[in-house]
Amino acid sequence: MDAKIIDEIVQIVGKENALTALEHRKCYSYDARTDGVAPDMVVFPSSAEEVSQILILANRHVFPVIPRGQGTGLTGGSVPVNGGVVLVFTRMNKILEIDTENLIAIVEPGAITFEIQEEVARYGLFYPPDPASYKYSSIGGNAAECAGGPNSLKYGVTRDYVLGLEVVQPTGEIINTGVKTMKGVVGYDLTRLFVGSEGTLGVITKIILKLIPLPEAKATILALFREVEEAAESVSAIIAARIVPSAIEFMDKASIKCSEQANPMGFPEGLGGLLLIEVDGDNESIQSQAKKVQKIILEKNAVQCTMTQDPKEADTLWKARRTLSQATYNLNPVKIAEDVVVPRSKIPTLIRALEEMEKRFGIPILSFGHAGDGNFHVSIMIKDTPEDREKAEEAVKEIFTETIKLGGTLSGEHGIGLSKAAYLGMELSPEVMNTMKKIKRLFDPNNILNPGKIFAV
Amino acid sequence: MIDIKNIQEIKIIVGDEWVSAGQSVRELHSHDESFHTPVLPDVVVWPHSTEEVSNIVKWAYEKDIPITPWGVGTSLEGNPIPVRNGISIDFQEMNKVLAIRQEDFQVDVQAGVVYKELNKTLGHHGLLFPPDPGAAATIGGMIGNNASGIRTVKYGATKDYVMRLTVVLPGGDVIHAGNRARKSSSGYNLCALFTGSEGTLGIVTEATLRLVGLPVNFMAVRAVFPTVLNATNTVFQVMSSGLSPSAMELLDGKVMEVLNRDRGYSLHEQPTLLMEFNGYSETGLREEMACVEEICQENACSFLDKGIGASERSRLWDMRHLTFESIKRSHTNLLPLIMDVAVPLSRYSEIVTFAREEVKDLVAYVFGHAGDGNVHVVVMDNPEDKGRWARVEEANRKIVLKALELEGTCTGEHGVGIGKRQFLEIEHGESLALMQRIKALLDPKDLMNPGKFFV
Repeated sequence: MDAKIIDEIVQIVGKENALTALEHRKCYSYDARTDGVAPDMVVFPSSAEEVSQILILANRHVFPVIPRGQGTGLTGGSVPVNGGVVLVFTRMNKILEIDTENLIAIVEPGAITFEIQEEVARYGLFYPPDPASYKYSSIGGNAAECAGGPNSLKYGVTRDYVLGLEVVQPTGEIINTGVKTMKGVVGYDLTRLFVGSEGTLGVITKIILKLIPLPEAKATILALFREVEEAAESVSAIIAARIVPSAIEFMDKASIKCSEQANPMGFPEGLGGLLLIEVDGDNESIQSQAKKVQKIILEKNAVQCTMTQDPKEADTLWKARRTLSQATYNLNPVKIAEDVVVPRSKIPTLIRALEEMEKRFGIPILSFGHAGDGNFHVSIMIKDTPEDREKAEEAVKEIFTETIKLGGTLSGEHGIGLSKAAYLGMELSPEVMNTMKKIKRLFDPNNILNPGKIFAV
Repeated sequence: MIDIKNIQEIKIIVGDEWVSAGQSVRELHSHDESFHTPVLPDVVVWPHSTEEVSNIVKWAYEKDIPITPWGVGTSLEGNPIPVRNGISIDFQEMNKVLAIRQEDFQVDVQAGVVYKELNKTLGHHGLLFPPDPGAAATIGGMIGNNASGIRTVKYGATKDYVMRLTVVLPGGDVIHAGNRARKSSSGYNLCALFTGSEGTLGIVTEATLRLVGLPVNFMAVRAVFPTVLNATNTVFQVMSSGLSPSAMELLDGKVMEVLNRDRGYSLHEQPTLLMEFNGYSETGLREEMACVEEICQENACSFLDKGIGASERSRLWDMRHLTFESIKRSHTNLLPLIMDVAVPLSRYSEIVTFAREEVKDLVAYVFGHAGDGNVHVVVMDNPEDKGRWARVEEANRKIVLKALELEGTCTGEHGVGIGKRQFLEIEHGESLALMQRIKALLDPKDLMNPGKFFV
C-alpha cells in the first residue's frame, strides 16, 4: 500500500489508533485456527463515519478492508490474505442502549457477547446465542458469521436476534436496515442478507438485538450410553415428547475416551455416546421436564443418568464437554475442524460413517457438538506430516460428501471464510454460487470487502 | 400483448387444458381482497411442476412478457395483481405435500398448498406449521409476503420457518436456496432474500418448512377493559413479565359491536384482549393464568373469562377468526382499506390512540396482534367516491407516518404490494436504493411481478 494512503488513514483515525510496524501487523494475521498474511496496516476506528472514510479510500485506491472483532473465528473470516487494512472494532465496543420496555439492545460491533449477556441479565433479560467463544467473541463477529452455540436448539442462532443493522457500504454510504418492531415486511430482508455474509457485503457498525425474558431456572442432565444409536434415539424421543431442551450436547466414543484421558470423570469403560441436556423455564416446569427427560433416557438403556439443578454441580457435569476441544491436542498436534449439520434423523448414519472413516484412515476422528440441531464439530487430529495432511484432506471430502448426501450443510455456525471456500461448490449448485457472486459484485464491485472469503479465488 | 400464437406456445409447455384466456378466468386473477384497481392478465396458466414454471418463465422472459405468480388471492395490498398484464401463474395444481419428515420436524411442499390444509395433515403427525394469517392463503403466497398472524407473538413469522426454497429465477434458471439442516452459515442467506420479496426476484415453486410440535395444553383468557389504554398497558406488562403468550389480540369496542350484531353474541362492547397460552403441563398453565389475572386486575379489568383446554379456547377465541368476515358482511356495499402498521411495544398505546382518533369520522375498526405491536385499522368505504376515499387514504397516510415516527414500520405482515410503495423511501432511506439495485440485478428486464415494491 502506498505510504500516502497510509498517512491519509492515520489522519482519519489518529496516530494512536493505527498500527504499521510489522510485529504489530503480524498479530492480526490469524484467527483462532487459520494463518493468513500480515495486513499493511491495522486501525481501530471509533465511529461509522471513520469506517466510511476508510472505505471510500479503499474503493478509490482498491485495497482490501478486513473487519475484525476478537479474532476468535474458526474459518479465517477475519484473516487477511492479500494485505490491506484490518479494521479492529475493539474501540467500538459500547452497549448503546438497553430498552427494557421493547426488549431491544443497541450495541456497537466490538461489544463482547458475554458482556452484553451479563448487562441485559441485570434487567432480567436474555440474549441467547452462545458460541463456544462467547466470553471473548465480539457481537459483530457473531453477526458476520451467524454464530450459534448449544442454546440454538431452543433459542435459534444469531440471525434470529438481529432486528436491524447499520452498515457501511464500499461507497462510504451508511445505511440502516431492518426494524425496531417485532415484525416487519417492508422490502427485501437486507438484515438477514448481511448477517452471515462474513464482512463481504458491507461493514457492520451498529446492531439492534432482540432480547427475551431470562428463564427462571435450569436443570442439567448427563447421560451415558453404550451405543451411539441409543443416544441418538434419546434425542429424537425427547423432542418427540414435546420437550425443547435449551441444549443437547453430544460426544462420540472417541471424544469420551480422549476427554477421560485428559480429565478423568470416572466414567465406565466401553461408552459409545454421551449426552448433556439442559432444560430451562420456570421453577415448576423444570422439575417435570427434567423427570420426563430422565425417564426417556433410562428407557433408551442409558448406563448412567445424573441430574442436578445446582449450578456448581452442573459445571462439573459440563466439564467433559467443555475441556474436550483442548484435550484433543493430546492426541495429535494439528486439528482439522469441521462444523457439519445433518437433519436430526440422520445423526446415527453420520456418526457410524465417521467411526468407519476413523478406522479406515487410521487417524483420530472425534465428533461432538449440538446434537439437537444435528450440528457436529468433527475434529480430525493429525501429525504435521504430508501423509497425514493428505489423509485428512481425503477424509474431509468424504465427510462433506456424506453430509450433503444426508441433506445437510458444510457449516452450521462457523462460516465458510477461507478454510471452507474451496468446498462450497460441493454444497451449492453453480446457479446458486453464481447468484451469490452476482450479489457480491453488486455490493462490492471492486472486491475490497474481505476478499478471498466465501468464494474461492 | 399476448396473441393466439403465444397461447399455442404456452399450451405446448403446460398442456392444452392448463391455459386459459377466458374473460371470467382472467377476471378472477385480476384482484385480491384489497380495494386496489383490478387489472386483467392476458392469460392464466396452471403449471404442474417446477420444470413447467421454469419453461414458462424462460419463454416469457425472452418475449418480454410480465409474469405474476398467483396463490389464491387472499392478499391485502394488491400483491398478485398483474398490473402490466402478461401471464398469471396460478399454483392451484401444485398443491402437494411432498414429504413429511416427522423426526426432523420438516415438511416439503409445493407452493400451492393451502396452509390450513397443510396443518390438518400435519396434525395427524403431531406437528404444526405455526404462521397463521387467517385467510386460506397458500404457502407460496405466505413466503412471498413473509406472512405472519395471531401466533407470531410466540412463534415468529413465515421467514422463521423457511429452510429451503426451490426458486425459478427470471430467465428460467432453477435454484435451490438453503438446505435441510437446522442451522447453516454457508454462503449468503438467499432464502431470506426471496422470502418476503413478493415474487419480484423469482418464483418460489417448492419449500422445505421447519415445523414445531403440536402444543399439548391450552389456556385462554378474554379480558374486558374500560379504556384502550388499560388494555395496551396490560399487553405490555404481560409481555415483559416472562410469560410467553401464543396469541395476544386486541379488539376495540366497535369490533365487539359488529360481532354481537353479526353473530348474535352478547359480548361486552368495550376494548377486549384475547390471550392464549400453550404449554407442556396444566399445572404450569394454571400458574400463568393466576399471573395474567393479577396483571389484568391491576389494569382495571372489568370482566374476565378464562378456561383451560381446547374447547375452552375455541369458546373464547372463535370470534377473533370471524372478525374480518363480520366487518365485511356488515357493510356489503363498501370496500376495506386495511392498515397494518407495527411499532415497538412501548409505543403501542400511542399508535392505537392516535389511530382511533384519526378514523373517528369514518366507518373504522381497530384490532390487531397486540403482542407484536401490530395494529390493523379496517376502514370500510367506497373507492368510487373520490372525495371520501381521499379522506380514507389521508387517514392511512397519517397513521403510517405516525408509526414511522414512533420507530415502527408501515407494514407488519401484509407486504408492500401496490399500497405501501409510497412509504418505502421514508422508511428505508438509503437502503431503498440498494433494494432497487438488487431488483435490477436479478430481474434486469423488470418482468417479475412488475409494479410492486418500487414506485
